[in-house]
Amino acid sequence: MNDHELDQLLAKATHPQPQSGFHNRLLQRLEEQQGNKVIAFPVKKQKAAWLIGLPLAASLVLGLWLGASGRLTNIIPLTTSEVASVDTSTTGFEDVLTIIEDELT
Amino acid sequence: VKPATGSSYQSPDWRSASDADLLAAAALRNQQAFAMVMERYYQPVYRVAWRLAAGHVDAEDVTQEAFLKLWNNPGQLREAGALKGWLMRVASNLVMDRYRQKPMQELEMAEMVIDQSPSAPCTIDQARIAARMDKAIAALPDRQKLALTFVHFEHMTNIAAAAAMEISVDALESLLARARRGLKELLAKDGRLMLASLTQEGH
Repeated sequence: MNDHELDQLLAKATHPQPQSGFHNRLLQRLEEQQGNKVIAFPVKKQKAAWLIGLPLAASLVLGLWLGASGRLTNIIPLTTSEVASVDTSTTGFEDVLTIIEDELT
Repeated sequence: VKPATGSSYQSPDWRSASDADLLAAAALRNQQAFAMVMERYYQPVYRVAWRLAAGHVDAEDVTQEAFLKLWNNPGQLREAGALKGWLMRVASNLVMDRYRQKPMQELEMAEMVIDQSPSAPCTIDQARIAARMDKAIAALPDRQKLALTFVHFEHMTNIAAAAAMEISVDALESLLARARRGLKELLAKDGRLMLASLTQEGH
């Protein structure tokens, strides 16, 4: 087979044509893809606010209670027994006269 | 970038626009300009995809994908003058990638996708010859098939075909020579018979 004969046969090969509507389908796909490119903001799942607030509030109360229980009692006497344990030695203002008298004698 | 003045992409402005203008407008997401690019080149790109896919029905999908690649990233194409070749190369790469993933289908499909145009061969013999030729071309290695498709079926110059394949002209000519030699060997058996049939019909 020579080149001319081969060209004759090649000329008989199928010349494919896109099926009708190909161009429109291509345009449609383009538009679809453009639509897909628009990324919607994800809808966040709304959690109940109190679900987050509750443990926070609880830890705050616990922290206050634990932190303050050791200190507040030192500052503000809460019971009468603690009042009774106030120092009774002779170093107060009321004892000044007694001390002076002792020094004079 | 030329503005689209008409109501459709077929406005005279885009029809007369150069590939470079169309691409520049398409890069700015102008659908009308891009539609004109498709209008200009979807047929040759489809034909190349079809030839490489050996009549597989995915040729349409591959062609669409090649255009979508361009639409999504027009910056990939550095030279507007190479648009047609670039699209053909992308389409052919897509076909080859797909067939690497799944085995090639038999070319019986080719007989089902016969040109329905009025100028198409109307006798059974011609249809058989067309199918036989398609099958012989499909049996060639991919690079040879591509070179033959560009030069013989798409009537590209050797220089343009070599540029589209990103090879030297010498390499392209070598591929073409091997493709033709391969075809002659493949058609050694029934080539004479087909030629005789063509001669008979000519008389």
